[in-house]
Amino acid sequence: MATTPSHVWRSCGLTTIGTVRKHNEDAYLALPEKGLWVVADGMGGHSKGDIASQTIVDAYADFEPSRTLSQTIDDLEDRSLHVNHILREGVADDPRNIMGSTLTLMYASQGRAYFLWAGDSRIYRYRDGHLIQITHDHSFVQESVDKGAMLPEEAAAHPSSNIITRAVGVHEDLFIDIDYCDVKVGDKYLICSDGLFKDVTLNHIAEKMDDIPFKAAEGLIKMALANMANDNVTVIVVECAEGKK
Amino acid sequence: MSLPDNNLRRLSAAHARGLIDTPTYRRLRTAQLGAMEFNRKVPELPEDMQNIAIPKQKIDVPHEPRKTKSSKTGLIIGLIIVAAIAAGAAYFYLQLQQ
Repeated sequence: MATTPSHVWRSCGLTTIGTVRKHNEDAYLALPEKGLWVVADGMGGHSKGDIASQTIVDAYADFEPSRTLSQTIDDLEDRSLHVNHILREGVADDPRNIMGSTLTLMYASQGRAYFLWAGDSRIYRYRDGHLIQITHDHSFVQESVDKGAMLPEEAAAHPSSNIITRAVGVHEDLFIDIDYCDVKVGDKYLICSDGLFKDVTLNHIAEKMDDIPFKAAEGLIKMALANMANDNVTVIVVECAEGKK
Repeated sequence: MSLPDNNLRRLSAAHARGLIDTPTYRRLRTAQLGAMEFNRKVPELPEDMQNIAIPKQKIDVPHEPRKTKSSKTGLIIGLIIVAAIAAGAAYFYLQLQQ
């Protein structure tokens, strides 16, 4: 639990290997006292996806907010660029050494939440009974939907739905997307890997988000496992409560 | 429903599409974040970046929040109080009748 002048942040993160995969290539980090939460999903199509995701999460373990917001956001981005550089080092010798991972993080400060991401791990916000998706996937199917070449309802079941167009470690140049929103007391945020939303409907996710973070995270994982959980599943549920005035 | 467009999204889209280089992106982003941090009006973006299309998520799942335990508890307590008042009133009424 962490307190800012007007907000208290509570969170719970859980991950599961699922019922099919042999390794858990997801990793997460929850630092509520620093206002930072990170989910990374190593890619199954690449070797050593678990190393890639863990390297990303480790890069944020000693995070401290900087003197200004701008410096903090630069630092959050720089850490991902540094990991991208590290993961790319071995690729020059042998392209089969590619290690990749999505990165999705939320940073809360001074009444706002900032979202940085690359890939298709997502952030949702649950506010006043409405669940909305904040991040925009960097994936082949999402880009096809954006261009009007595919209907949104066709995207989830498309054979190429697992192809992502941005990830840490895959390309020499990494572009991290950024967005933000004002925070309201009572808001809940869900940061998750694609294993969750491929196995659990958005209606069921919204239903679970009514609960406190621990129960919500546990309920979401249980629901994914009940639906077979073909992929690794990772969730962090973050709740904003009223803090000390 | 999705978050409203904002200059940070426009800038990161412009950067990813190669419309601005990294130093320019960082400089413009710093100006935006600096204004936001100190509650000043955010500076306008250069004209060629003001109308950058931002892909939108149209995912909005409405959900009727469940009644929480505390509201259920409140309801039960309320019913007990009403029942106690009714029982008390009936008792005094019967006492008066006698």
